[in-house]
Amino acid sequence: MKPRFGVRKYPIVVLFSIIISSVIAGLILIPSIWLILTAITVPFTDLIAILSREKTIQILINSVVMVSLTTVCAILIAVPLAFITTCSDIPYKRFWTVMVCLPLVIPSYIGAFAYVSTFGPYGTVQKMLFQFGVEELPSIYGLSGTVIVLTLYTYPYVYLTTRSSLKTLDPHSIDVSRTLGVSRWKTFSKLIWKQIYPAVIAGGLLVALYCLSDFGTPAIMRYDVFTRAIYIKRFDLGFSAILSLILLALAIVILSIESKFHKSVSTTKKVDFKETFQISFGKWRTLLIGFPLIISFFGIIIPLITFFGWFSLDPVSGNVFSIPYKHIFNSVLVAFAAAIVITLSSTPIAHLVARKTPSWRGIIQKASYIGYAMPGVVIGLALIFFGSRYLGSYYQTLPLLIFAYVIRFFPLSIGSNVTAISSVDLELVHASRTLGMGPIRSFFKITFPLVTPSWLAGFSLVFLTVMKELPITLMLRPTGFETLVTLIWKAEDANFYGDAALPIVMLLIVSGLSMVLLLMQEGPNP
Amino acid sequence: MNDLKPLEVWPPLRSNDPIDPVLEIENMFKNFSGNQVLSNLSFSVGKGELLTLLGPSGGGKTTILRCIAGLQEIDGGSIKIHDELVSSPGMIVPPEKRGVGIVFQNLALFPHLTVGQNVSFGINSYDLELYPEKVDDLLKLVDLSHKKDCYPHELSGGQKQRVALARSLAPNPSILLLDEPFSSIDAGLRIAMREELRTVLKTTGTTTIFVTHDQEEALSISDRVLILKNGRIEQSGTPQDLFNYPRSRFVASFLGHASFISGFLEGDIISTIMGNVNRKNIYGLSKEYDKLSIEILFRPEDLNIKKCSPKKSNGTATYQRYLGEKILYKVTLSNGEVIQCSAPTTSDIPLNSDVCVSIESKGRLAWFPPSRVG
Repeated sequence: MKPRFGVRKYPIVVLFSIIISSVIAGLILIPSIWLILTAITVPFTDLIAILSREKTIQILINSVVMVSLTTVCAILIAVPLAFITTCSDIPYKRFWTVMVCLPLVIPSYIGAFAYVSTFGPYGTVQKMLFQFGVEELPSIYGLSGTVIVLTLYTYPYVYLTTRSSLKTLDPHSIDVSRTLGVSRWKTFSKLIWKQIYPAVIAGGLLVALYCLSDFGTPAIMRYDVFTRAIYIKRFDLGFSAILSLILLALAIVILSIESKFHKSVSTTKKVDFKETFQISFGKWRTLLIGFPLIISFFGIIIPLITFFGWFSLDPVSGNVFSIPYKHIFNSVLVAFAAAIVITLSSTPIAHLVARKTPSWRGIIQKASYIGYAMPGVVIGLALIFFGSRYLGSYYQTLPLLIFAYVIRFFPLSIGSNVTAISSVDLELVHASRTLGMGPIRSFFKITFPLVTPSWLAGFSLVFLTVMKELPITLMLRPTGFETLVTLIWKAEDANFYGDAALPIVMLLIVSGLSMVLLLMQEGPNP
Repeated sequence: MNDLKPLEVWPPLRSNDPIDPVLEIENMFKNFSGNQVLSNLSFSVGKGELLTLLGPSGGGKTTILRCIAGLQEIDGGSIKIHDELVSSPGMIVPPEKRGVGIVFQNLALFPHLTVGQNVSFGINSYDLELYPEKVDDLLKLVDLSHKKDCYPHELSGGQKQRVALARSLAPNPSILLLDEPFSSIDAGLRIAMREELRTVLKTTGTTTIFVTHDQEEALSISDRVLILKNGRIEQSGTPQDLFNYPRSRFVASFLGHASFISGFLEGDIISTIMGNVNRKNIYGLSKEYDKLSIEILFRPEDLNIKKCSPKKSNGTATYQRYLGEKILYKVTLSNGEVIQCSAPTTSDIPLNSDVCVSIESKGRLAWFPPSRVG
């Protein structure tokens, strides 16, 4: 029963939201539509030429191989880890759970930076081994390095989905299966795996999407995939637009499969059993610790040792502990501006989603989610050309950079805004009205205080996420505008490790806070 | 329901319309996306009266409350509070200007405010200066003085319900609306809570409209009950009048166990399979219905059931259910009609045994035209 308010189909607030939301969704879509139009209007002969170029085919193969390998590796690491830290009887389970989640805090490009400096041709390990006669380590660059680093920093996505799915299993059903005379292995394959595999695959697809759109890691590892090629060829519009279109198509395919699995994961009943089923490993249990130990050694310990080691290096620019105030200020400035714009502009859409009106709100919602599918380099590319062609005076200015952040991180903010608005039961406002408060006072006394906590959480999440964004910042920042991220990027490029030490530690703190917020948003069980 | 209507005037003997109405609803209509939810509804509530809207779920009860509170516009008719028009099609006085309090089904306590702040929410600061003890008085009234600084999530279901009540009473509303306030409270506590509610409402002299789908709740708490079905008033009256003199089979069945048994009127005697009834004992059955088949409404307490020999028996006990203080039986009479009657728990009538059911009514019985004519 949809209430009708007199002759108007929608109440005035909803009508207002609909108009604003449509405008915002339209603005967000413009650059991608323009990019698609550009790619489509490339003359057919040129198109064939670009597609059949050896380079193009190589990039496609490289990307697919890298994405598939990383996804498989991430699943192979994450599923056993989830079992060990959730359902076994190893000691200090909470500690190991936190340890194996920690790689989430390290942006993969910073991980790649650490790996190159440690295992690269002039790295620490090479120098140490040289004394023992090892002349050359197998190269860290290329496919293997990219896959290793991406696996180490993305497996937590699979780990988290698998773990929460394991927690929804009824512990008694395992007992039932065993008492029915089914063997351990069959119990696993027929009962446990059947129930958790949608979550595993959903997590795996998240990893695939991440790898496909990640720019920093393959760039540092000098491995030619779509993102790196688009970045390098960003001034060759026809070529890079077509590459972007292929990349976007791949991302959308992954996302649409993911949303199917995600649906089947989230629609399974969310009963919280007080206990998770436990498998006793007896004397083997101490041995089992080895696995999370090895993974966190490579994922966390090695990069941390590396970064702290850099503090002993002499930076090019003065003291290793000299705080880069200008860069911090710039980072905070753009992140704050972007967070304000994103949080405010996503409110009307969140309002429609939370209040489940109008029936066609899905279109607006999907349009505003384009940032999920669009890798940063694609947004960057679209805005470089769109900006230089139609927004002459805004090209290479902060507003354009912030607009790019808006497109990329808009979806991040809708979620928390929807939570914020749904946390206000309309009945509460009605109760306030019947107690003599007018609509405006009701808003300030009821809606506003209730919305504020999740609104602030959403704001902070966007703020922190923007601060560590790499490709858009690199491509669209005004000339001479340096942030913490570009500082790190330049230091990597020039092997000035001492310059990067302090900014990286700062960025890790930012990143850590954003992860805490993200996990808090997704539920009380991190 | 049927063309055949009683000729005599039916109760209520007491006047149905309050002399001093606080709320008057006239010919109210309400549609939701084309469906008529309320049609041509008229009733009024007197000062200090506790009126209950009773009816099956989806009968439009909550919609009536929302229209009275000004949370929904109406599509026809009018609503007046203290002789002042507050709602008519296209015109609506906003909820905050009506002086109507409401306790929602989900209670809608403000989660970010304490019990004390919730209760004082609707009292304006001027009043609070004049009567600083008002919040404490209200909390004392609902026996929650010790929870003043607690937040809603720290309270039990019953306590939350009492906070919601105190909060809605605080601004001295001219009418209080209660939308199934006990729905989230377990059965045991519910009976105690409704006694308490009635005491509080009568102490404060609050004019109240109470909505429920529970007939027992309605009959035990109300001054007057309005039975709703599909957005129309089926019947209204005091609980006793409704129970004893239902005007339709729907009302009769809705208010308690009801069986309809056929009888044949001849002179002053109606003969049924369970024995004869004098015409004077049937309400509103006049001589003009002579030589006609009618159906008489029997409640379990109008009947007596006992074991007897197959020769004398007039039915078989086919079903039994313990109701606590008594046992409810369903008896299939020898002519195929089914009747519900009750016996003390000490009686030992086995299932499928032969029984004698006899009429033992001391009061007057209600009758209906036969449901299956021809």
